[in-house]
Amino acid sequence: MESRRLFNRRSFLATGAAAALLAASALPVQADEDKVRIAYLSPSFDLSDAWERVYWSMQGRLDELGVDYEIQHLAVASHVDHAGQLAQVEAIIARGVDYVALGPTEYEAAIPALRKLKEAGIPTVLYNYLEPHDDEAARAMSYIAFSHLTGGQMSGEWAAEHLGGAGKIAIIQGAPGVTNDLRVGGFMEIIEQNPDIEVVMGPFTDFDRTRAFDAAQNLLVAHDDIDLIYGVSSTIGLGAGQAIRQAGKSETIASMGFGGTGDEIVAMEEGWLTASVLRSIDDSGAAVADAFVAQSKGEPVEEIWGGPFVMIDKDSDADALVANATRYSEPMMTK
Amino acid sequence: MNTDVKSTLPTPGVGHADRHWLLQSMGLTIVVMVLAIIFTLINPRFATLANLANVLTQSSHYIIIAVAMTFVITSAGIDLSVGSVLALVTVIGFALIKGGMNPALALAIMFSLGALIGAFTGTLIAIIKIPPFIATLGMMVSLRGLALLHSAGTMHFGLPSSLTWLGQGKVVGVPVPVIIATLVAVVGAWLFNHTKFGLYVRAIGGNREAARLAGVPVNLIEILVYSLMGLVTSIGGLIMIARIDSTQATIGTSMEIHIIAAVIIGGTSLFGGRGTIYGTVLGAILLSMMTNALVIAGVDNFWQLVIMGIIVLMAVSINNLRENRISLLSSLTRRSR
Repeated sequence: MESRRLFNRRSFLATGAAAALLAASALPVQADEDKVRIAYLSPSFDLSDAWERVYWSMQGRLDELGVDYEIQHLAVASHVDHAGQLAQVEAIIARGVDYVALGPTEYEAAIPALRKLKEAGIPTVLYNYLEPHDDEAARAMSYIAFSHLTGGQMSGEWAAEHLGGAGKIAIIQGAPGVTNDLRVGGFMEIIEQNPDIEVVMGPFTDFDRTRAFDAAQNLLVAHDDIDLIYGVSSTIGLGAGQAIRQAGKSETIASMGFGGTGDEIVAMEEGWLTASVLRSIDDSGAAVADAFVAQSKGEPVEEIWGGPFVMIDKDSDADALVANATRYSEPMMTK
Repeated sequence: MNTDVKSTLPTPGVGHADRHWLLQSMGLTIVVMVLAIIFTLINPRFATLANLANVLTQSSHYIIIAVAMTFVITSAGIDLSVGSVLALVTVIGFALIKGGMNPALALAIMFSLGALIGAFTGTLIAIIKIPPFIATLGMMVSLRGLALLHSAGTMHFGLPSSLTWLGQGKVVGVPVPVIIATLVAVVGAWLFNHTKFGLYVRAIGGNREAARLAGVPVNLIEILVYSLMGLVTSIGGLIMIARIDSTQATIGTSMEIHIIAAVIIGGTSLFGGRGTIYGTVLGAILLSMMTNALVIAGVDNFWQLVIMGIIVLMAVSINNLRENRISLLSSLTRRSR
């Protein structure tokens, strides 16, 4: 039959068009063998701008050090797509790269990927976790992160002091997992030392600002005696702050974010976010670049790099801190 | 009503099944092969045996679950709850194993639970008459909630090596997940094309009322289809968690989109009545191949999404062209002859 011929004209032309489109898209980005090839894998695009800032600050530092490099940025569609991230790691191993910066979807879910990277002999920086794995075969070259536990503890100390040791706190959570557990756990570790502080555990919001806004609204309706809302990320803190502002209670109910991003600083200046724990995010991106460069020169590489936090609130002079924290990424993101 | 099913329905293997599976999915086969050649030309590392094994391994759990989804969609249904079923059965199975239960018994419980959940979903659809989209949407949310109640943010990890072998092992150089996916696909194709069950599924999807009048036990078949979906999702889930040696309550989020896409790209009609297991397998492989190959080609992540979307649309268009499903083009080409 005519219609069942293996290569009829229409399908042949359409297939050719697909081929041309793909070739045109892919060919210009073929690897330059002289450059240092880096793969940067983040757990998703939607968690916060931190992953993007690390990406840009790493490049800013590499530029500063005069490294000739090419970088491939990969992310999975969802921060729980562990199998998808493993597939990406397998693909970059097949492609062949010199270095990998891996921001895992979850630490334990990334262990098979870390084993494969080590087996392939690719020096890897594990971002966002500070604990080398018990299994030597799954250990990365370097661990770079801001301790979520420490940030949670600092937030807890600020909240307890702000409330004078008595009051009611609502916590709005991110997504089930280690990051959320540590930020909440560190916070609770301090708050539990204050028996006159009552805590209402709010819902998971997948670090989504709109969902955090809704959650805060609901909590304010359910508990009219809330004194403070602790959001475990920038987006959550901002969503909660907006809900409090809309309720006209920014003067009486405090809101806290986590990360100290530029948006949070603006919100504090405008008076609808009260405090956040600021991490100097670009320092960590620079630390990733430094680890790669040190390894390439045969110099010792720092195995564990834990970044510093600073607690800021509406009374802090945060501009200088923020300028330093985003010194590499801001110029590249606003270019 | 005294209806002789044999006299009113064609024998298994006849009708809209993929008995001409190779020919009917030839358009997609060509697309996959041409893309593979192009990607090899862009970067020869794509065509290494190790990487082809990667692609097949990465697509294995999708193939397994998509085979069952082919039955569901061919019966004019849909299952949005696969990711949640996978999460619930794997966190329970994992916890049982880590709690010291014999792994074989824990797997039996896992699979039984998957089938039971599927049977419950099928009952909601067949007996309570809740539309499949709504029934499985409700199940998707409820089961995710149950998984979170069970495990909250806990990450389960550290399966015994006898189970990680199912996701990471090899037999004579062939990855175990690929072997399991092949077995599921072969059994699925046989069930779909050569049994009364497959015939009934297609009949229900083609015209539910006509199938009922012809004596097909419609309700029973629908319950069985969703039970199969639950059972096979558990098997796919096992392969997935064995591969990453971990699971958590949020695993499999949005997975249904990938599975349904593989089935539809493969040529199964979203409106039911027509399906192809071979096409589904190709669809799942195409999606995994694209993810893998675009990384190896060095394509930036945002461009990957754009190109993947375009190629998927083109793949389906080419397949439709080959099968003369685009009426306007078909009439134009008839006139030009």
